[in-house]
Amino acid sequence: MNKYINISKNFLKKRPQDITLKLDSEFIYLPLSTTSKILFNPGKVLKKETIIAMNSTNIPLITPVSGVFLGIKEMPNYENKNIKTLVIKNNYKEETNKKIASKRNLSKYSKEVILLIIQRLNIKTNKDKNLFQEIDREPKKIYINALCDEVNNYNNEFRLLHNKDLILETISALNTIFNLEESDLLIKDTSSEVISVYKEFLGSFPNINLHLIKDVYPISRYEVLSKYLLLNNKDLVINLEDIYKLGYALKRQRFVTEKLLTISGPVVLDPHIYELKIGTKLSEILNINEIKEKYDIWINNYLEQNKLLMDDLIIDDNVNALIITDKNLSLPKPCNNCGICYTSCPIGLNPKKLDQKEINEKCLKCGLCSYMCPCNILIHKKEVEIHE
Amino acid sequence: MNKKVTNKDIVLNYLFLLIPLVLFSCYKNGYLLYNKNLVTLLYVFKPLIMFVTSLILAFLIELIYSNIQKVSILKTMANSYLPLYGALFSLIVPVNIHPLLYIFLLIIILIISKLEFIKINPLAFGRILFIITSFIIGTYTYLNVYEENVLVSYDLWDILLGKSIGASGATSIFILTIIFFILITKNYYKKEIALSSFITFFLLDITLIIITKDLTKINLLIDSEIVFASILIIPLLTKSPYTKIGKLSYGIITSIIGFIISSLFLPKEGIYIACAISSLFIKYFDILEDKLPKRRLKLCK
Repeated sequence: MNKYINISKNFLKKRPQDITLKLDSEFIYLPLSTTSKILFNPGKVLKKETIIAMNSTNIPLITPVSGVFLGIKEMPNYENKNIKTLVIKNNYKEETNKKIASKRNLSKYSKEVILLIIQRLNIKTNKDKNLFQEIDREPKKIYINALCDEVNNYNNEFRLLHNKDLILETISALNTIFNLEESDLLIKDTSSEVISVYKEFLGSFPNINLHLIKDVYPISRYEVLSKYLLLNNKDLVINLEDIYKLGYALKRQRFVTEKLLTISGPVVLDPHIYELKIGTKLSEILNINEIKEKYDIWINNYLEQNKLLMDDLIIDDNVNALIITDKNLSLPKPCNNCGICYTSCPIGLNPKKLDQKEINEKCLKCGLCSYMCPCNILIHKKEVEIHE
Repeated sequence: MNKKVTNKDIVLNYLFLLIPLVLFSCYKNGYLLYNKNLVTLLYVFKPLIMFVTSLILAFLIELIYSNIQKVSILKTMANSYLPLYGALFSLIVPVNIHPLLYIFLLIIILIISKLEFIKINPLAFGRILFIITSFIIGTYTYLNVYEENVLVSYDLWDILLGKSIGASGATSIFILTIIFFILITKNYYKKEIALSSFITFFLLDITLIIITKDLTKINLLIDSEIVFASILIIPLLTKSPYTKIGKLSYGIITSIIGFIISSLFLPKEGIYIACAISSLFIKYFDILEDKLPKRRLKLCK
């Protein structure tokens, strides 16, 4: 019997009409990792796309705007934790270093250059492995993951529709440069608009297949996807946004400094997809406190139940969607031992044993168990018991 | 399978599924007897009255509980399994049970199921209480008024269609089979328990027939009480294991104990007594899963 669960029918879908540009943030906050080395002193005027810091593995931190580097400030991130960020005051000049002409044919790049860019962009594959290491091991096939688990997150759909040439060209270039037989673009079978648009264009890219995937939860996770597609070690799964970043870097020879953010949910009358500078703070777009008085704001995915608790939020690479819902006032009831959480777990874990470290580490925190629970228990939020 | 269900959905689904059993009981234990002028018109609806009484009592107990706890009765009822326990209990007692005894037993099993620290299957326990009390007062029988006055002999079709002797709503194997096929489509139904329990009972009975060469032992298997207990009582949602191994082993062990008691002492009661015993050890059935080596599917070539 098919164990995969389709939850999308249970939610009210609110699709935004178009992308709204919101690139005029006054301040930019760039999350700083603990191993990063800051390359400039506060007060320095920086151009857009300047490498402001470098971590121990040579992953650069890029300024998305031009402006004055003010220093370090603690700001809330997607895990509701205060983290150190580098603050840049935008001077709205968008000054960049010397402009470089666009590359016409991406397939002409050498393998070494591509690998270097992949490393610089810190692109991941197959559950946090580094793509630049994995792609050099002669993969058989690449799967481009354009799937999204949150019903109301339309980032990937809009990315596919608005940047289709760049995306298809990048995948095709990867196929040519790394001698891949073919690549599959994974799209949900419910994305009718994307399917009809791509059907027209894929004739020009014979080594790219459109692979329609059932709309089941949480199919975008590698653990579930690999089980669903029966992937082996030689197959690589790359996220669509990473392909876009790579294509952008190859085509324009610049780093992507903007990102898409969906703000939607059952109570939102006018859902939006914003294109923002990476590092924008949420309070520049939304009146957070006013919304939080009446509604709940969930970061990325309603089912994961990662609620926005702080007064603000830095929109970095980890924040893709904000889902606004009515406040959930129903209290959890004692467990009725029905076992629905166990039968619905996409990777077959026993959610009632999440207090055990071994099981907690394997848990995807997708929240399906909590969602399916008739007693409204937040099972997946259970913390690990500390054993001596 | 994909839909989120609440406790209220589960209880309502079960109650709707039980209605055909109640109506069949009204037909078998009421209408047919009324046609023979053995009972009054009101008696025709006795199974339905017992069913509704159990729901009312469940509501009253929840009302008292919510008043003590100072919570809204609507919220309490929305998550209450008492109506389900009450309704099931009305089907596992004989139709000619004394009304006062019925209400007394009903109150006891509803209170027991409300007390979370008592792990026993309340329905199996209720059935045992019924056996004990009716033996004490000398009214232990599953015969209805007609069956008490005649000698009955049923063929296989009669038994399958529900004309056999048994508890109020537990005689129709045909309706029970339909209920089972509806229930296995629900994600909250512990079908592994029902299947493992029935298959084990079937295999044990076949083995017994082969050993004793006594074909009358087939009666144990086609007893609607066994089918009813396997489908609705042993896999009772809140009082059974939830892990895969736990569910399978619970069904198997309950059936083995039940078969021994049924074949040696009480044919109709064995499975309920076994269920009451094994429900005390639910926690240990779930632990079994950790003790046994897991079969793992290697995905990466």
